[in-house]
Order: sequence, then C-alpha cells, then structure tokens
Amino acid sequence: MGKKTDVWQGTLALMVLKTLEMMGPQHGYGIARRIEQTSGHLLAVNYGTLYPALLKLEQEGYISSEWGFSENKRKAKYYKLTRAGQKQVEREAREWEQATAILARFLGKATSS
Amino acid sequence: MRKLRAWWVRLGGLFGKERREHELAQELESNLQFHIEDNLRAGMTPEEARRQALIRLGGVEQTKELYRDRSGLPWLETLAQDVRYGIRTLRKAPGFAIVAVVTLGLGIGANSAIFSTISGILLRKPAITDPDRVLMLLSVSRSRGMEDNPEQPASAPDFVSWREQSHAFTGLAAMDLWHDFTFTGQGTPEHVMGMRVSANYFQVLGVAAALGRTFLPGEDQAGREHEVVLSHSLWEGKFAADPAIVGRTLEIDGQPSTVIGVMPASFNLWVFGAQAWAPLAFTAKELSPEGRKARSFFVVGRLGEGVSPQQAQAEMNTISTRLEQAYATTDKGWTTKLLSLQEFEVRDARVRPALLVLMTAVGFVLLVACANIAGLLLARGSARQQEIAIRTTLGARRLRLVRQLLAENLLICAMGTGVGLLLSYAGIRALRVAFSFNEVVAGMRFGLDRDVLFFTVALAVVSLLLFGVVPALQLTKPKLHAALKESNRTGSASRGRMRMRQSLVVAEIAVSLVLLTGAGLMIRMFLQKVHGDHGFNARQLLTAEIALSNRRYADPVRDAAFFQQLVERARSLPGAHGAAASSSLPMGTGDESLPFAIAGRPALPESDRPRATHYSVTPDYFQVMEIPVLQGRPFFASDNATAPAVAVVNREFGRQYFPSGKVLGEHVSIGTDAAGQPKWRDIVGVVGDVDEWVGQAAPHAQIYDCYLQFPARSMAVAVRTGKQVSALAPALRQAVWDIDKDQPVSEIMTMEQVMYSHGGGAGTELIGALLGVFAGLALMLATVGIYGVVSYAVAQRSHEIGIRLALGAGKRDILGLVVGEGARLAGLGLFLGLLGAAALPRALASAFLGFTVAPVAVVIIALGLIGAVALGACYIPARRAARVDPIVALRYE
Repeated sequence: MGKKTDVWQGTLALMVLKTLEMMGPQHGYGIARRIEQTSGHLLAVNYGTLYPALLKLEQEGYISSEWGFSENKRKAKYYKLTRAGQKQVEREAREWEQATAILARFLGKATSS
Repeated sequence: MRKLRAWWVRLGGLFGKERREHELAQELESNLQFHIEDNLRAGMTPEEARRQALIRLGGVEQTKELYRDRSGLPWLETLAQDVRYGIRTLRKAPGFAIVAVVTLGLGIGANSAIFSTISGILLRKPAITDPDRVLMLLSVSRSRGMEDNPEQPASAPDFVSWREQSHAFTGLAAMDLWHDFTFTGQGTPEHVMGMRVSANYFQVLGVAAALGRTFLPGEDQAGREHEVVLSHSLWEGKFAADPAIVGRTLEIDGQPSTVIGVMPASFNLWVFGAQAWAPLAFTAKELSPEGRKARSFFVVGRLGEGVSPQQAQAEMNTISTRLEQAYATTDKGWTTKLLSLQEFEVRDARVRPALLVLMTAVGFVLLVACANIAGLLLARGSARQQEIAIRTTLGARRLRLVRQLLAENLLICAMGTGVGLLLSYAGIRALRVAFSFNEVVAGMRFGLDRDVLFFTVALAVVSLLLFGVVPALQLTKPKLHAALKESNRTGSASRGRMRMRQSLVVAEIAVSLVLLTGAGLMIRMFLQKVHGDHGFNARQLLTAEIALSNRRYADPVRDAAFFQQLVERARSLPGAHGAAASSSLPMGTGDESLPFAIAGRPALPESDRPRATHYSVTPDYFQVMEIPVLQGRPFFASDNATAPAVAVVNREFGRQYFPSGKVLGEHVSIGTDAAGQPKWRDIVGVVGDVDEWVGQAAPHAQIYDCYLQFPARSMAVAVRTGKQVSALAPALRQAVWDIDKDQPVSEIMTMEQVMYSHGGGAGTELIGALLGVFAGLALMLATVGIYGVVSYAVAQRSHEIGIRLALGAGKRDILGLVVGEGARLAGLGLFLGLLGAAALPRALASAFLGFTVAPVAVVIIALGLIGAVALGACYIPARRAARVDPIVALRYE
C-alpha cells in the first residue's frame, strides 16, 4: 500500500481516543499529525471529518475540551480523554483484537492449507 | 446510552450557535497556523508553507457545514425554518389565516362538544360490575290505551313467580323506585328520593358498600326492614361525611331505621336517582292474588354464566305465557320485555331523539366547515402557483416545498385545534347547564371525550392534507414553463380547481338550507307547543307537590282533611286568586292511566279494559285552572263522601266512548271496593281536553274524580296568583308547615317551569335553540365560502373584465356578470337544498311524536334568507370588479 488512503469511517474515533490516551491532552492539529505518524504516513486525515468526529466524541462524553495555550503561546482548543473515554478505548481495543484474531484464523487457515 | 447523551447535547446545540461558529473558526485558524509553523520549520518559504497548509486543511466551508450539522439537529432546524416561513406567509395573508383558523375551530369545537355530550349521555356504561349482564325485566301490555307507554313495572306476585320459575338469572331483585323517604327529627323535614329494594339488589348489581354493609338475605321480610343504606353524596351532604354514621338510628318515614352502610361515590345509577335504599318487604295485600295486577315494582336481574340475553328473553316469554294462562284475570295480555340497563336509562330519559337530531346537525356544520377550508386551500394553492414554480426553477427540491406547505397547513391545524378545544370546553359547559332541566342528565358527569377530539382533529388534518398538500404536489410537477407563463390567467389546472370550489359552495348552500329549515321548523313547533293552548291557563300558576308520608296518613279521611285545609289556606294567601289541588297536574309527572268500565256494556276482564288518564281533583279545580265546562256541571263542595259518587270526563272521552253524544247520566266504574264490587260513578259533566305533555298529537281520554270522594295520597297544589308568581312560594310552604310541621314540600315551581322540566318543553326549546345556532353557523360559513369563490373568480377574470370595460361595458353590466355567476351557484345550491329539506318534516315527525308544523312558510323564509345572504356575498366582489380601472386590469397579470 503505497498510496495514502482516507481513514476508514468509525475507526477515526478509536484512533483519536488512543492518541489522546498515549499523548495526553492535545489539540486538533496535533492529534491529526500524530495519527498520520502512527500510521506510518499511510493515512491522510481529512480535517473535514476530524473536527465533526471530535465534536461527536465530545457529545458522547468520551473527551472533554478546553481552550489553552501552546508552547508558542498560541491559543488552541485542547482535547482530553475522560474516564468514560478511557474505558471506551480499552473496550474497543479489546474488541478489535478479538475481531482480528478471529479473522486471522480464517485467513491464516486458508493460507496454511 | 451514549447516543442519548449525544442527542441531548445536540438539542442544547440549537442555542448558542454564534459562539460555536466563532470557536470553530478560531480552532481552524489555529490549526492553520500550527501547520504553517511546521511547514516553515520543514524549510518551506512562507508563501509555500501557507499554500500547502491551506491545501491540506481542505475546504473550510465544507468542514464548517459538517460541523454545523453535527452540532445541532439539522432536521429540527429545518422544521423550525419551515414553521417560521409558514408563519410569515400566513401573516401576509391574514384574511385567509383567520378565516381558516376560525372555521376549523368552529367545526372542531362544535363537533367535539356535541359528540362528547352525546357519548357521555347515550353511551355511558353504568358503574356496576359487568353492566352488559344486567337486564331490566319489564311487563308489556297489549291492551288499548297503553300504546304510548306499553312498558310497565311488574307486580309483587309476578315478581315472585318470575324468581321461582326462571333459571336464566343468577338473581332477580325487585325495586320500588322513586320512593320518597321522609327524613325527620333533624331540623327541617326533608324528602329524600330513594328506593326500596330486595335484599339481593346490590349483589345483582355487583356493588359493595364503601362503609358498613348492604342488605343480608332475609332482611326484606316484614319486621326486619328498618334499615337504610345511604348514598355517598347524601352522606357527605346531609351528614357531613360523619365517619360514625354506620349504626346510627335515623327517623325515616316516621319510624326509627338503622344506617347499615354507605355506598361508594362511584355508584350513581342516574336513572333511578336514589340517595337511600331500604329493604322492600311486600305487604300481604301486595302478595295477594289481587295484588298481581298492581304493577309497581321494577325488576332487575343479572344473567347467569353463559346465558345470552336472547335466551333469557325466550325463557321469560315462556314464563309469561304460563302466567297468562294460570292467572287470566290479572295477567292476560301481558308479556315480558328485557332491556339492558343502558337501554332502560336512555329510553327513560326521553333525550335520545333530541340528541340524534343534534348529532346530525352538527355533523353538517362540520361538513360545511371542511368544505369551506377546502375551498380556501384550493384558492390559496392557485394563488401560489407562480411562487412555487419560481422556487422550483431556482432549485428547491420537491420534498422541501411539500414540507413547507405541510408545515403551513399544520400550523393552521394547530391553531384551529387550539381554538376548537377552547370552544368545546365552553360548549360542553354550556350544554351541561342547558340540559340540567332534565334531572337525569344533570346527575351525569361527562367531559371532553378523547376519542371524539382525536376524531375531529384527524378529520381536520385529513381535509387539510387533502386540499392543501395534494394540489400543491400537483403544482410541483415539472410543467414549469407552463406555470410560469400562466401568470394567473385561467389555465387548465386552475379551471379544474375552480370547478371544485364551485361545487363545494353549492354543497354548502344546500346544507345551510336544510339546516335552516330544520331549525325553523323546530323553533316554530316549540313556540306552538309551549305557548299554544293546552286546554288550561298555564300562566301565573304556582304549583307544589305534596306527598303525604306513608305512615302518618294511612287513612283516606285524614288525607282528604289535610288537603282541604291546605287548599283553604292557600286560597286565602295574600295575592292568591284561587287555589285547587289535583292528584297530578296536566303536563306534569305522576299521571295515572287506569282501566275503567261503562255501565250497560259487556264486562271485560281488567287487562282488556280501556284506560283513561285519571285525576282526582278538588271541587274548584276546573275554575282555578280555567278548563272550560262544556256540558253539565263541575264538582261542588257538596260532592263529598256522603253524597253519591260522581265523575267528570273530558270531551275526548265522550267522543270515543259515547259517540251518540249522550254522556251525562252514564255510569262509569274505576276499580273495586273492599267487597269486590265495582265503584260506580255518575258522569255529571264534560270538560275540555287538557294536554298531558308538550308535543302531544291527539287528545287522550281523561276522567276526573272528586277528591272528597276518592282522595289521593299525593297531590299537586295549584295557586292562581297575580303578577309575582314565585313570590308566593315561601308563603305556600309555610301554609303547609302550619298544618303539619313535618310535612315536606317538594317542587314548588310555576306551571311554566313544570311544563319545561316535566312536560318536555325545555328539551324542545333547547334543541330548537341549538339548531338555530348551528344553522346560523352553517349560514355564516356558507357566506364566507361564496364570498371567497366569487371574489377569487373576479380576481381571475380581472383581465377579461378590463377588456370588457375598455370595450365599453358599463358598470351595471359587470355587476350583472359577477352577481349572475354567484346567483347561478346559489340557485343550484338552493335547489339541491330544497330536495333535502323536503325530507325534513317526515324525519322530524318520526323523531318527535306529533310533529305537525306546516313546512311551507318556514321553507320560504329559509330560502329567502339564504338567497339574500348569498347575493349579498356576491355583491361586494361585484362592486370591486365594477370599480376596476381598465388600464390596471389590462396590465395586471
């Protein structure tokens, strides 16, 4: 996969949550950069979907937001993981692992036989 | 759960939009700056950094839009937008809006009020267990003279026979209805309406006492019946809800009785109107063989498990036939009829035909209202044709347009429903007050029926959708260029719509004519019947009912003495011109129909004998009531207990039974004396016919006894007074108490009030008034409809009118043109309406007995009224048309 693809729907939310878990509070741009880095620059974050996604997570109560200042004294809106968000990340991560494990058996079996 | 939280937050997101937009803009800006910084650090030039950052950021407007959608509830916002738009458009056409809302409100309000009242009265189930399983058993006679009132109560021996022989019922109970209990020993003596019942009465109905208990088996035997059960309202009212009431001893009918229970507040069978219940112990006389013909006990029973009413009726028919054969003298010609408690309630209330008429009338009003709204909406649709075409061209989606129209219509619907709700509450209130003359209805509780409201609102919504949205859908079809070009000239689509509007108006006029004629007929009938001649002078007559309590006056001589004293005292009251008493008043209640025999004619068994309405009157009666003496003489004071028995009959009696004309000197007998011999009377006089109820078609045979010879236990006193009739009431009451301080006096009313409440006068008046209101409503609505159609037609044709004017047509000609068109519509409507109105006299006659108003005059008046109104409605638009400036009209598109 050499081409940068758009992030799959639904997984963006999980990536954002995971990023915040690992990085701590971060602003929208920072989150996007981190996601791209983590994916090895194989994913390109569309800001048009990122900000609505952030809003949705906030509405659902998984993250909270606060205006603050960056190192360069620039005003930015920082997002932080809530306790519910923490639990959600753990839960969803588990589910994904399970899903991929099951899938791996199918695919693994196919290749091995 | 999370979803719910999200929704909630989004709901809150409807507010504070500006702040959020601002924040997002700031956030995006800071994002941009961060990116630029990063790019600069990566070594790009400032311009390149900025360019790349901008490209990477993507479309800001799209981001904002997506964000906006996410932060609020878009569909809600669009709806709000549509509603706001709807409000704006309605405000721009206030005439249309107001008329539509008012029309809708009237239709919904009137309909809900009437239908709620009717379902409250006609369809209520009595508040007992399983009311469908409880039936009334009535005796039905086939003999002559009873056709008006064939259903009668049963006698004690018949009841006992029924109980012994029937298997269809789990229990049968007898009731002595409308028994006046006299409660004394506590302040003023008071009449309490109640009933005496078999011990199992409450079990048959399936209700238990709220306090204490009801009767135990065996308590309806002589000697054990000094108990009483009180109604909830009596307990609250007279005994201040005394918690220690059970076990108290009260003086009732002169005897001590123990209160054993109080019924729950929900127990209120209004047809019986009972406030107190005592056990019914049959006397030996009532149970004797002769007592089998004294039919005064109503019987109620509960069907057994799995028994249908038809099966029970069949069984009772068999039993009746058996009794007819076994006891031919008393039971011949009598059979049994079973009615559900509900049917019995309604039948007795005499309110049903009136209510049915009302329902039909108000249904018509609703139709007219719907037609009006439909017309309005169609017109409006046409007017907005161009607007919608333009908007479609500009890119509005069909769905959005339809949604907007829908919002507008729903707005009207909502406002109309609101108005309708208010009107129906007020209407129900007014109806309850108006119907309160009927004591049966006054005791009922009814309010706005939810089903009725839903139905009428649904009807309104449907007509709105049908006439508001469907035509609009047509408009949004892609015939745009035609619509745009059409520019208010008559196109093919509008012609169809115009036809529809015209036919709607024609229908409205027809319905209005029918309604107006009906109202006119009823009002005329009322005027005739109540204010017409009833055979006596009903004006300035004060009346009072005195029922001598059973225990104190068991002796006829004492009865006679009491009333003699009373009449003398009443005569000498200041302001009284005369006084008399009768066992029952004409047009009042309590008149009896008794079988009689004429001397010299073949003797018939009692059940086959003809009957006449019987009155027992004091000597001055005919003079005080101003009933003309046609032959012979009235009663004199000398016709007392020692003189030979005499009787006076009315003209109808003479006509039916003495066709030769010789009446005086004939002998007639009513009932038998102690030795079983017929009690003969000498007919000494013939008086004029007297009506027994409002709307009576043909006179009844009537026979009068002299009170001094044949006294009655309860009499009505009538006092002829001067101007201030009711002013004499306290004096009259005092006169009674001067003779016997424990004698209750009930129902002191003027004769006119008696006619209203008991004679059926009030009912007719009320129906007439309501019908008049409905007819007026329909007329008003029809006027608006005609005006709407005609003025719209004028607006459509203003181009044509302009041309005509320019070509030299005079104002008169234009007027004629427009009015002519309206007149054509009205004429068609009136013609159709006539067809409907022609059926009215017959229909009303079957609903109200004895309806004999000649319809011609009423119809002519109604025709004239509607015709005038219709032409008037045409006139205004016509004038406007004639005043049109031809230049403007020619230019107007």
